[in-house]
Amino acid sequence: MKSAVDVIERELIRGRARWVADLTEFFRDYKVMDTTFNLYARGKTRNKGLFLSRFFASTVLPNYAVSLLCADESGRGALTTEKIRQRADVVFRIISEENLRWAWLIILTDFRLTPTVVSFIERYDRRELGIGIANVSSRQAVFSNNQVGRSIRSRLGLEKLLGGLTHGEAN
Amino acid sequence: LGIQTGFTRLLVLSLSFPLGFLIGRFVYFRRSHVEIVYDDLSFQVFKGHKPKVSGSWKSFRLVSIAVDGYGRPDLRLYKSVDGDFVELPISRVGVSPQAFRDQVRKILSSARSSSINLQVAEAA
Repeated sequence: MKSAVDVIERELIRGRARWVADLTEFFRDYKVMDTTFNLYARGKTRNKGLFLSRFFASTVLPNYAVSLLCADESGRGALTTEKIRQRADVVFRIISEENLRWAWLIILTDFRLTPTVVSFIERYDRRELGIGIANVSSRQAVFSNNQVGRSIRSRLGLEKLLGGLTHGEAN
Repeated sequence: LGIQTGFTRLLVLSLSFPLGFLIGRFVYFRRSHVEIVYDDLSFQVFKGHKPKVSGSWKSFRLVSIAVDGYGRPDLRLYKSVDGDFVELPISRVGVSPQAFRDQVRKILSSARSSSINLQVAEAA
């Protein structure tokens, strides 16, 4: 049975994020200090392509290192701002250690998103980190109010991805 | 050249297709066909008839799916985090990258736990 993380990973491998970043390497259960991320994907903002797109990419696009981290908090109680803050701190550590330009952080939960969490995420505006929180049961999703955060909805299409999950896949 | 007549021309054409197919197939299996042979202890990658990569699972700690420049997902085995790695060209053998990666992760974790048990036994 495929989990939501499996589905996100499968779509990323197929190049779903290519308009923003060319994610080329995917780790599962990636451990940083005491925190484990179910999915860690890394890549560059310059994609490869063929002929014209490659020429365009090499002449126009910057080649920043970026990454995506996804944590599945399903079955671990309600999501709190403290949990999100802890995850964000770890991602900032990864950003500074690996010299990343920015990173996506996606947190999945099966609990209803509380107004506190929604407000915290919508007010989050640090440039380097885009946060997306999604409820895998109700498909409710909220994104941080910065460019990287908004791209989780517009380019990655997280809500559509979760909407495409069958009940069995969402486990 | 003797292929002017209708029957001979038809015969040559009908033979050249299967002959070309067989020769192509022979050359492919001889030079390009990729095969990954593995068990719980080790793996070996063959290209054509030649072994390209081989190794023991217990030498590796981390596994990832790495997409190459053409969008083909292969498996990358790391000896240490961000250290040396070996690539298994799983996109050439037609397996699901996620399913095979999960299988390799299981093998790696069991190989690691058995080596830890051996160390504990030696220490005892």
